[in-house]
Amino acid sequence: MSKLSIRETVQHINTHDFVLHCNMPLGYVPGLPILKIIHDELCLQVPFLKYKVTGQPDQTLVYPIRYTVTMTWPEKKMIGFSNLSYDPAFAQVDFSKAIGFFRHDAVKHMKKAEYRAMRDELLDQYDKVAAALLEGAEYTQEDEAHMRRLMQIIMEPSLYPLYQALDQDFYGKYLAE
Amino acid sequence: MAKIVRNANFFKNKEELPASQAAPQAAPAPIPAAASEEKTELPEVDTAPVQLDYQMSQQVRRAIYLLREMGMDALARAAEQARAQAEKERFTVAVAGEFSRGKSTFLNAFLGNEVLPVGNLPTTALLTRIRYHEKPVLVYADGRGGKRSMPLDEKAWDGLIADPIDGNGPEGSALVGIPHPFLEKTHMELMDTPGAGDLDQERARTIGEALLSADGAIIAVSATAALSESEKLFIEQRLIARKTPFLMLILTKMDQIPMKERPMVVEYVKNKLKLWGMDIPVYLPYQVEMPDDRYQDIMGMEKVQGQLIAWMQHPERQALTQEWLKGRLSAILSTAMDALKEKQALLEGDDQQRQEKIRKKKSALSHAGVAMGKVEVEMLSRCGQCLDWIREKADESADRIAERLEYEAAMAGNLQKWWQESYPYRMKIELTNMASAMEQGVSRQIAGDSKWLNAVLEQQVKGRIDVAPAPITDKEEFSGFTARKDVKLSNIDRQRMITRAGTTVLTIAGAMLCTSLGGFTLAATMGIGTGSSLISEQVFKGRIEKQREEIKAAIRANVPELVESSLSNSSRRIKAIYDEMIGQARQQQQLWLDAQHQALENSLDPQGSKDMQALKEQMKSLQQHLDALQA
Repeated sequence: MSKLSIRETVQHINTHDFVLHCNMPLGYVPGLPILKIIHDELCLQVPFLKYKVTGQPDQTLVYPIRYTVTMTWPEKKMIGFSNLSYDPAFAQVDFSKAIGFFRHDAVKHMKKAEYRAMRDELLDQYDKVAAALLEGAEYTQEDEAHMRRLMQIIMEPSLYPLYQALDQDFYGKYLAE
Repeated sequence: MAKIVRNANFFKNKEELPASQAAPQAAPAPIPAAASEEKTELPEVDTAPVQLDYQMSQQVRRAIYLLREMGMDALARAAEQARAQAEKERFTVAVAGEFSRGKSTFLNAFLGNEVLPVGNLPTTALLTRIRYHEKPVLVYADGRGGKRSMPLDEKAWDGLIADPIDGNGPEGSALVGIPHPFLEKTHMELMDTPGAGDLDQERARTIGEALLSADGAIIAVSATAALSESEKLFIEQRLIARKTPFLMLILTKMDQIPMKERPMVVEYVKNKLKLWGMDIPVYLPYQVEMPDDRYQDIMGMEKVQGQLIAWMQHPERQALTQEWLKGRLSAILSTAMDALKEKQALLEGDDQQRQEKIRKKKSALSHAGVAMGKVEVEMLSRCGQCLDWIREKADESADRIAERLEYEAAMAGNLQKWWQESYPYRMKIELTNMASAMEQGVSRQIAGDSKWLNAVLEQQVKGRIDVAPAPITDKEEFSGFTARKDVKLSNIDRQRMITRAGTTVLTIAGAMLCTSLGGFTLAATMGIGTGSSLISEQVFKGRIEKQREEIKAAIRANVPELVESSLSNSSRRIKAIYDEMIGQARQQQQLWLDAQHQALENSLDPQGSKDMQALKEQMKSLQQHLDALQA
């Protein structure tokens, strides 16, 4: 079994055989994953969304999450692909229209390296959650608050409703006010 | 095995996967390629060979003349061969594909005669050409100048088919002549090729050359394993890259697919071809029952014949052939031009400047060796990644297989029967499925790596390699599988039956005996009989559970071993494929280095301005010629 962390897995997911066969249009990149429990197994759902560079600083367009890929964790067994444009729950979403801009206010002041470091730190926090759930490793309230803080800084606010629609529980734990 | 989370309420609520998380929607089916109109009688066919137009003929002649004049005899010969190929008399159609895809069976059906040997194991060892002849005849050429002619009867193929025991087959080629009206009328030559996955290096080269000379190719794909990555590689590298003018794909073995799934297979193949950007029509050569009639226009041997005739009558056939010839000539002349440019660069300037250039060139050539060394290291690293991948997949597969089989053992009614009969069969199925998945994954990685290597070679030495698809797993290795014998199982169902029968007989006998002694004794006997039945049932239940646990333990121990042994040769095969790629790359580099060194040698002792002037003239003529060709 591959020992890749969640951060590495998300980074390399675009070259995964399964993902390649999903034939997502070019330009879709993985967003922040969602941890969920399905039939008592921990699963990682990776949403895919599109950014469009406009050439203007902080005016890069953010498009809605359109696809998701779900795998069991830590086995990384692919269990689902979803094209949300066919999902009735997302019928109101116009996937062809941008929903926000990057960089959003919370990260506007950051340099690229700072932003990347914080995003990596956030993704490393996912491993902590996984370790707590699978091996009973310590996961304190401080850890949870820290992850919540990072998540709310890194994630574009325009994506909140989509995360909420994708997973109310994960949203409730880390994103809801 | 999957890990279970410790706190299922961590995210408050469990969530089921929404129904929408299903497989991606299939792409819309492409419109079937236009098939020729239905006709039982063959239409009149123009069988005249392609006539190069005057301008093209002149261009070829001039190119050959120029190359000879420049002393580039090898390139001149290549141009002559290309012209002969374009003007050949027969329209040649190759039937190609991986082994055991029903190529020979298709040709037999096409010709309505058992002309070619067929079998479940790869049988076609020889490249076989089939032409019209008044009497059935088989001519075998051994490849060393020897020829043997014999009547085409049952014994004709003795010794000429692949030996399924040691895999060896004869070398050379066979020519079959048969009195077939289609071949007579069309002057067509059909070519049966050995399965692509079944080739050693020499045969791979032979089939490559044969396909290079084909006007069209029929790609045989089995409906039971349609379009693997290695088949894609084969079509791309052997047919499309070599500009085979006409292509069609036939789906064989459709009868082995359940009827309701047949349309899905056809659509899958069409969609996959579309996805790969290949505009190739698909045909079903045999009449098979389909749930509806939407495939009538691509079904039946006469539709395949119609497509072949359409190829021959294609108004652009001559243009396509000339286009092919232009491409070949351009490539040959470009190679010549590169060599001349190299020579010119070295001849320019005064003696001192030339010496400096030569020194730099020598240094660059020695660096080219180092750069190639780096490429080799990178390829070895990619090979390592491929081996890691297969190892990882093997571990995952072992877990999954064991999990499934343990579940089946838990559900089995008669454990002894399941262990002795179902388990070996299920294990074989699981291993075969695993091998198939591995094949696809590895083929994809190899395809990617060969693409990368070709891009590097193109840039560094202006060359490219061909990677013949080769299987990395061997289903024969699974057939020797036997279940482990260290689980001793008794037939508990049988023992239970015997015990039940015994208890019943004793109870009845006791009851009958006691009837004569009085009612109370009878009741006691019945009670004892029932009690002993219940006790024995409990004992048997315990024994069954114990057996089940033993079997589960055996599966857990057994599966990883079997997965390991079934893949024992795969790593070796993968390594061989990468070694082959590296070897071919080395050869390409050597060719390029030789040419460069030759140019260097020529420039060491120049004949002054006279030599330079002549070179410039040659380059000018060549460039004009190239421009004319590419116009």
